[in-house]
Amino acid sequence: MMFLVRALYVLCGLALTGGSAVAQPIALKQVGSFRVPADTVEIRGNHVFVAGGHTLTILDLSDPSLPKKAAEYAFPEQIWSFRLVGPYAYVAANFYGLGILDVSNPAAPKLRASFKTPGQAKGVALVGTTAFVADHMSGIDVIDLASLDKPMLRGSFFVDGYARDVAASSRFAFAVDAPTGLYALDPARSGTDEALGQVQSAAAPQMIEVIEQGGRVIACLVGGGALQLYDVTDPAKPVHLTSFKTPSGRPARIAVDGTRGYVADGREGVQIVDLSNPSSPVLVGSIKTSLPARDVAVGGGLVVAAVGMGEGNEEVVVLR
Amino acid sequence: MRLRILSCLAIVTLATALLSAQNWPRFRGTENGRIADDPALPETWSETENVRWKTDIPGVGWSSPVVWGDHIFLTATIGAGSEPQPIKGLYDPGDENGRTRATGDHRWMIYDVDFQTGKIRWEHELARGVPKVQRHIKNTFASETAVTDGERVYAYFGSIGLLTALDLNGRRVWMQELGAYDGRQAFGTAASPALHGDHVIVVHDNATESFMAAYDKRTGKEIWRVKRDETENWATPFIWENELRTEIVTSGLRKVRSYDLSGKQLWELSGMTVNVTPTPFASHGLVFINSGYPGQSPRPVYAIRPGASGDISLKPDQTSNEFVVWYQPLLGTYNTSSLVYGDIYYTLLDRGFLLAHDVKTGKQVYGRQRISAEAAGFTSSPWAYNGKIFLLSEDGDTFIVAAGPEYKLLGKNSLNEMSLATPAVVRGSVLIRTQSKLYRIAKPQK
Repeated sequence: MMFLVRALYVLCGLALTGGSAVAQPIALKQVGSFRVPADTVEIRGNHVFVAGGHTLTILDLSDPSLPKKAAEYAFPEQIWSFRLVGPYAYVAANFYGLGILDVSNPAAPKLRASFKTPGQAKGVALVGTTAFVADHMSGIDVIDLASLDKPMLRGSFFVDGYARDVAASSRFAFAVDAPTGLYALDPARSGTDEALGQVQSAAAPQMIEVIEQGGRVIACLVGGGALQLYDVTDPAKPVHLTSFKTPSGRPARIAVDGTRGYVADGREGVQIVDLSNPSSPVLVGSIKTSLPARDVAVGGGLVVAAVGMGEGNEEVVVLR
Repeated sequence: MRLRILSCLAIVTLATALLSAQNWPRFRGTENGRIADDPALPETWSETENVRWKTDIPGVGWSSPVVWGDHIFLTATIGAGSEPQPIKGLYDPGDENGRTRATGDHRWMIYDVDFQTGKIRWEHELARGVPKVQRHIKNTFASETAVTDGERVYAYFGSIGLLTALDLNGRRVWMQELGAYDGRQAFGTAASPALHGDHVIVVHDNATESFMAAYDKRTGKEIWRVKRDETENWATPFIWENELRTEIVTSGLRKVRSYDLSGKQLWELSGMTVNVTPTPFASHGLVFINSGYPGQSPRPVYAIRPGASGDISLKPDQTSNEFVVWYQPLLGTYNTSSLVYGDIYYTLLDRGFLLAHDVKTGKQVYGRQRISAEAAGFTSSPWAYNGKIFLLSEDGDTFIVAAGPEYKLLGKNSLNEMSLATPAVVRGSVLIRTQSKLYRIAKPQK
C-alpha cells in the first residue's frame, strides 16, 4: 500500500487554488476471491501480500479471477501491519518486533533481518534506510537499517498515548497514537524524544497514510471515527483540513492511488473518495463487500480488499 | 491555634518517621516511599552483591511485603493448573483484552518470613478453590498488600472476597466473606486494605456491588458500609491525617471521594481517566491524586488542600480552585504511585520516564527523562533515601537517580527477574519481591 501511496498523487490545479474538481463516479465489481486469514493487504505488480494472524501470504494475481497462493511466511507473533519498500516487506510483528523479509522472489520470501523493539511493534515506515516502528510501549523507535546485518536503535520518539501507526514522506515520518493524534518526526532529531510537530486529532486514529506530490504533503488518518485529512507540508505545523464521514462512520484503513482514496469501511464495504481537493473530499463510488472490509489496497488497475469478521472467515476479494 | 496544630502534626510526623525506620506496616510504608536517610542503607546490589538472604516464595503475587519487627508478611496464590504467564510492559492484549479465567484450584496463602534469616517462619492457607473472578494476565490473585499493626496482620483478597486477621503466630483471629465480583473489564483486583485506629478499611469497586466498609480490627465485625457508584478501580484507600481532620481518600474513575471516619462523604472530585490505580498520598499538607491510563486523556494529577466539602471539581478551563491547589492534565501515571522527596513531586511514567515538578505549585522542574532505552516498563512505585530516587523496573532493574532539580542517572542494580511489587525499606534493608523470590538487600554486617 505504501508503494502505491507514494505513487503519483496528482493534485489538480483547481484543488491547489482552492477550487473544486469535478468528481467522476466510479463503479467496481468483484472479479475474484481467495479464502485466507486477512487483516491487512498490499499489492505489488501481479502479487497481493496478505497479513493474517502470524502469517504473511503472497497471492499470485496473474489471473485476477483466480488468485493462487505463491508462498507464505509465518512470524512467531501477530502481524499488525507491513509495508513493501524496495525488495523487502517490513513487518510489524507484535512482540517479535520488526521483521524484514526479502520478497524479491515472491515465491520464496526469506527473512533478511529483524529487530526486537521494547514492546509490541504495531506499524512501520521507511525514510531512506531508517525505519520508524510504532511500538505500543516505547513510542516510535528509530532503527538504522544502513546495514541489514546489524540494525541499530538510534533512539525513540515519545508519543503521548499508545503508538498505533507510522507513515513516511520522503523526508519525515508521521505517526499517530491513541488518544492524542498526529506527530511529525524528523529523522535528524531521533535522539531528542521530541516530535517536530504535533496536533490533537478529532478522534483517536488507528492508521495513517501520507500522500506527497508537487511539494504538498497530506496525511490521511483513519480510525476512531471520520477520515481526517491534515496538511503536513510544514511538519512543524500540521494543519487540519477536514474530517470526512464515510457511510459506516467507522472507516478501518485507507489506500491511496493518485487522487483517489480507497477506504475499507467495515460493513459498508469499500468507499472511493476523490481527494483532488483534500480540504473537500467527495465520495465517488462504493462497493458493498460480502463481509466487512478490513483493509484495502490498490494498484495495477485492481482494488483488493481484506474482508471478514476476524473469526476465521476472512478472504481477499479482487475488485475491478 | 493553627501553629499549635501544625507543631503537633510535625511531632506526630517525626515520630511516625522514626517508627517507620523500624517497621513498614503498609503499602509504601508510613511515609509513602520516603525513607529517613541512613548511611547503612544499601545503594548498590545484584543477585549476589549485598544480598543478606533471598528466599523462594511459593506461588505468585504482586503484593508488597509489610514488616513488623522480625516478621515479614507476604501473600500469594498457588495455582494447580498452568496459567498464562504475565508479560512485561504495557501492551495491547488482543481480542480478550487481557482477561483470563483460572480453571484450576488455587490456594490463597500468607507467609511470615523471618527478617533475620529469610526462612519462612509460618505459612497459612486461607482458602482453596477455583477463583471466582477473572484477572488480567498481568495481574495476580494476590495483588493486595496486607497491613499490620504489630498485633495482627490483616489480609484481603478481592479475588475471593476474603478479609482476614491473623496473629503474629499465624493463627486466624477472624475472617469475613465480603463477596467476590468482577469489575467492568474483569481485570481482577488490587486495592489494598487500610488500617486506622480500630478499623480495617476495604474498598471494593466492581460491576455488581461497589462498596467501602470498615471492620473492627479485633473481631472482624462490620462497623459501617457505604455504597459506591463505581465499576472498577485498583487504588488503595488513603488515610489522610491532615491539619484539620482525618479522612479516607479514595480514588476512582467516576469520582475521587473523601469520607470521614464514619463513612460519611466529605468531598468529591470528577475528572479522572479510566483504570484508576495509583494510590493517593499526602505531603506538604496536600493530598495528591492521579490517574493516567496512556490510552486516554486527560491523565490528571490533583494537589488538594485540607478542609474541602461538596464537589470541588475543576470547571472547564480551570487549573485550580479553592481546594485544588494545582492540576496537571497529562502527568498522571497508570500503575505507579508518585513520590514526594524534598520539595519535588516525582512522576515515574510506566513507560520509563521520570519527571519532576514543584510539590507546592505543580510547576515543572524537569520534563520527561527517558530512564533507559532497554527498560521494559515500570509498575513498582518509586522510593527514596540518602538523596537518591530508586526506580524498580519490571525487568528487576533498580535505576538510581539523583534527587534534586537536575536529572542524573547514577546507576542500575539488576536482579534479573520480573518485578512489579513495591519494595519495603526497613532497618537498613531493602526488601524486594521479584516474581519468585524475596530478597533482603543490606550491606554486610561489620
